[in-house]
Amino acid sequence: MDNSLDFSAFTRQSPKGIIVLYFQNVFKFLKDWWSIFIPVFLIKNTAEFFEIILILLSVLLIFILIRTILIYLKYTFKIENNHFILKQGVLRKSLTSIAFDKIQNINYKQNFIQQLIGVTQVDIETAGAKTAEISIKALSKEKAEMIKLILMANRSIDQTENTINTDKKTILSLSIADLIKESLTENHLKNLLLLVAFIWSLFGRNKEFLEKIKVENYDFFSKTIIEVSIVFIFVLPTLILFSFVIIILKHYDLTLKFNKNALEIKQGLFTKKHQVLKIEKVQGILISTNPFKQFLGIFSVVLNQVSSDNAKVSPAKIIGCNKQQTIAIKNTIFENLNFSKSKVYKPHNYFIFQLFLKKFFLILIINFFFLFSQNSYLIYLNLVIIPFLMLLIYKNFKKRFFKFNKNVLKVGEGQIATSTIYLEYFKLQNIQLKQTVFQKRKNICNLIIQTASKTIELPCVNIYEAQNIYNYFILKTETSNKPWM
Amino acid sequence: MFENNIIEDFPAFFEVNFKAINKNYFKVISLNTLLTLLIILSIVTIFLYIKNQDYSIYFIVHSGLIFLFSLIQLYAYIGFSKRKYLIRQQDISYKKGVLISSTTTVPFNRIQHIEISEGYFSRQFKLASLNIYTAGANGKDLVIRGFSKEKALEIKEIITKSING
Repeated sequence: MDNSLDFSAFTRQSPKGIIVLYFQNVFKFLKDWWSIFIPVFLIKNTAEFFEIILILLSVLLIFILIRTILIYLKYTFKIENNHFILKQGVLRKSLTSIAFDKIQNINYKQNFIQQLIGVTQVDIETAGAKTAEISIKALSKEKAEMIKLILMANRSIDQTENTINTDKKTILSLSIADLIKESLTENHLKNLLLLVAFIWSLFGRNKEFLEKIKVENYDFFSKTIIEVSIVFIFVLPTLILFSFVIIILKHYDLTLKFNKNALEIKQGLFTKKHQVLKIEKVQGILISTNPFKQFLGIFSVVLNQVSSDNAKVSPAKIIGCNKQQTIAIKNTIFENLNFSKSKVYKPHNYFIFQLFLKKFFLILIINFFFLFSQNSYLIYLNLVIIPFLMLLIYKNFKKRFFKFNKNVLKVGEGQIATSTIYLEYFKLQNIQLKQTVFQKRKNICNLIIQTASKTIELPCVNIYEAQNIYNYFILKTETSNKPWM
Repeated sequence: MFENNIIEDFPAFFEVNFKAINKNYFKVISLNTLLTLLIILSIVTIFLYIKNQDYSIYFIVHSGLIFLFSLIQLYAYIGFSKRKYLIRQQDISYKKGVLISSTTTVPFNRIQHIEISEGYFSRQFKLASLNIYTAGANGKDLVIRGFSKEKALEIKEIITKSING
């Protein structure tokens, strides 16, 4: 082992890290405190304005630089006794120690600046409620690799080196064409909302702009159908382009590899993300698709991980899988996925009534707003909304099912989109059986299965079947010796 | 397919006699209801006084509130008899609810930590609640109110032993 790659004494980050940290701190400062510049913009005299701006900026930048250097100097870490130990803080000092087996994941990241100066960010995710997530902003590539090797080794370095060197099986790697397919079939309605929210957050505070928008909106709604459809023709390509850009940024060059006991996911254009997921830490998986994607045979797979109190660990999402690839992923995670002999359970018909009731209240609320809005034509929107909601109820009921085999629960759900959840029984955290008085008369109940990453509810199950399932979950959980995380 | 073999392993878990919680806890519930009623009554009285309302209004509002709280108390009374717990070798279960009834089970080997807490009224009757935390995603963990203090400590001991041993 090279001396520079030794972590037994306290080490700092790469000196280049000062640059990364500096940019981050400046950016963060501007984001949080941009409003302090507003009074300056009120100065009419141009020369005076530039003078003040210059002085203010240079004072700030120097202050942040000093602060950054201090933070950098005080941010040290070492590895000792199977613990990762981090000392940090200039004024308020803190010492964090994380046992290796509490480490959930280690992710590499490189944003644009980090790529430019050749350092890697290492994020250490833990599942413990008390230890926060650790993010080391700038490490040389070798050090980052080394840290991962040591931490993922779980007490033995040799073992991991073996695992890393043994053949990694590539399950999936996406080309640009795959990403284009993916972006064409996105849920563009959702992206529209995102886009609106984005524009809103950019200009929302500006009153003049708000007023302009209001006027435009008014015009927009009063336009004739032809004009609206012209707008639509422009909006749709924009949305497709928008989701294409987002997908390229997030998922460019996505590759998924599998070795012995971990899945490795690499993706991203400017910010390269590298996730290593231990199989045993996966709490359950969700495979989803929408009608367009289904037509092209594209699925996305979400691997649910434990979420901690402090940091919400984002589930690892793998997009653009075909049928065989989803099967390959499923088989790496679960041992027994044979459901051929299993009975298909459907919710009791009472579930339709429950859905109906919920949508009924929604329709009431919507109509309440229509009633009090100036535009009386809005009422006619009901002709679209009500059939649409009825379709959702029908789809929701039709797509919902549960299947059980010896090890795994399989749940189907969805409305427009279709998703399938797989969950091993012993990943259970706690289980609840819930019954309203109305359900009691029909001998049905809801079964609420809680895992460390997700809560799954099986609605309106026959009470006797539910009790059996309940007991089986407990039995499997209590007799299992496998670690649930 | 598995339905048959489960019943053998768990002989009618749902028919097993769950134990009732400490009777004294109903007094705590009643005192809490009473206290809430008194606070709301005094706020309403002050409000009505400032607004210079007629005495008949006082009567209507106050009797209405008292009636409402009687109903709440009645509901709590019915609900109290439904609060039951069961401790087995490997797990702890809790049943409750009138209009919406529920049964929750937490296996011991998924428990992260246990807390014992007491409110002011509970302390007067030497009662305590048991808060059981798992790593569940929603943080909807198990809270069982109305154990005697010794019982709560005893259960905590049983569970802690089971986790560590």
